[in-house]
Amino acid sequence: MKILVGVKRVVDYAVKVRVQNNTVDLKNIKMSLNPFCEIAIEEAVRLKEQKVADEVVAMTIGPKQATETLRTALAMGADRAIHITTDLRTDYMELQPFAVSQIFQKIVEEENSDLVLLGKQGIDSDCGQTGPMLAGLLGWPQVTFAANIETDGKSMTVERETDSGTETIKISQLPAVVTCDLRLNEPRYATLPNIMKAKKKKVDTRAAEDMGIDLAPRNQVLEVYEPPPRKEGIMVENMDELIDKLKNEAGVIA
Amino acid sequence: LSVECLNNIEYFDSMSGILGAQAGCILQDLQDYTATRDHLVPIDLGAKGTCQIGGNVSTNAGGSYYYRYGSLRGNVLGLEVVLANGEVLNLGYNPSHLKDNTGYDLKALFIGAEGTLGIVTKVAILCPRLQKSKCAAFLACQNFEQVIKALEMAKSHLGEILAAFEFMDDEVLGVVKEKVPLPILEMYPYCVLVETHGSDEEHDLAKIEKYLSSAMEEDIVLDGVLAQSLSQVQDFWKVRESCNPCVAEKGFVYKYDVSLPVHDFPLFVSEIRSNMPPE
Repeated sequence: MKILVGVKRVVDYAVKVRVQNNTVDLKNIKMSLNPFCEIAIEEAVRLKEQKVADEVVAMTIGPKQATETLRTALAMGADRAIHITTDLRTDYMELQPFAVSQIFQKIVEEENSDLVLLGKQGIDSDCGQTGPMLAGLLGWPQVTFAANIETDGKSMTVERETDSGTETIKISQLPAVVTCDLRLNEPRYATLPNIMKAKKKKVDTRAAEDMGIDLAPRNQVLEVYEPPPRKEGIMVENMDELIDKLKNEAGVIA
Repeated sequence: LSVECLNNIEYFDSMSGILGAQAGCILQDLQDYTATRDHLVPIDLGAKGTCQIGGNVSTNAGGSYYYRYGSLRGNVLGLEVVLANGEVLNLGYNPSHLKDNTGYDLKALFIGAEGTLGIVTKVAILCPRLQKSKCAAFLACQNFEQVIKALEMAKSHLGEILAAFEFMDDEVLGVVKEKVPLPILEMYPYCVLVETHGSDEEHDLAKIEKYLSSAMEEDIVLDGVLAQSLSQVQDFWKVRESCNPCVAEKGFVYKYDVSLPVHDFPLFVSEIRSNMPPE
């Protein structure tokens, strides 16, 4: 089974972003592997360790620096990587999910992948659209928000997170697209020996602009602003005052 | 005596990096404040969520960034103190200057005086610029000689970007492991947390990779992991900062802050161990 894993270079989860000129200011900001993509790579590597998969290919779409994201994926255990280069912003400001899924579609068809694992969403755009759009373009079954995956390489049972609990879905025949959620696994650290090994692994580079796909955004971003600062709470003197405020100010009790 | 109500930040000059804060300000709050202004408070302690800057000054606190940013004696540029007779002294607090080589350095007496000469009420502290790139590695060594070599190599390879070098031994980590997962799964006699601060991530990572591959080639470092995100950097620090609380939870702890020449550390530890009952 050949697995293609999408890995996205995003603003590091721990960074507090600032809004400047109606967009997120990315200057001098720490970028890292999207946490959900990290979970996807971990799952793919585990499937390889279980001998269910025989190759894990990591793919990213991004600028020159996105090779660092691929190096992380290779250090975690991916066999080789594909870097689709573009200087377009990948946080929804320029490159958007429909174009991204078309790029993935082309690579999946060339690579003959049996399974595509993606993070459920990028923590920059929070779209969650690439997985479902890709499945639609390929005509493949899809499961999103996977919290558990069991497969023998031919069929697959996925436990899926929903607002009201876990849904279990059986994909009777691969190939399929699965997007990964938080509970799926705990990603490994990149060990020094594996980081050294990753340097020798193959990375194929290709320009997004040369793929014959329309990369123009389908949606226009009208405005970007920071959420209003949280209002300070107040201390109340006693229970009566609390009830009064809940009733008459917050209006949350009758 | 508590100064927790004296918790206002009075001024911050981004040109010089001088922060003027009242003694009851919590260190974490000062770090958050300066971070949004591209600066950083030069001391960092595990207790930063609760400790107050006045207390840090009165105890001459060290912290994990001591090697890189120096001690409070160098970074405190001014103090306001209240003497036992009620007199309030402004010792270079307002105004506060980067360079003041006039006269006796009276404020220095109060740093580490633990309140015996007066109560610290305001602190003017020099904050370095916050570096854009923060990287960390968690390394494993076979013995203390290797830890020392790893430090020497870090100084020569990492140079100006080395910010913290914290070692932990297997006894402590064995206790920490029960509460906090360790980045390295195998148990080694010593682990080291190395952190770098620099202005250019590509440049810093290139230095770190050279350091790590040399250290591994020479068997100074046997294993290790390199943080791939700031969350992982925080995970490494969680292990380091859990050492004290996890050990304390095990029973009764006698804590002594002892400064020794680096080469004497293992001898000191083995002497203490040999003088303790086997349990």
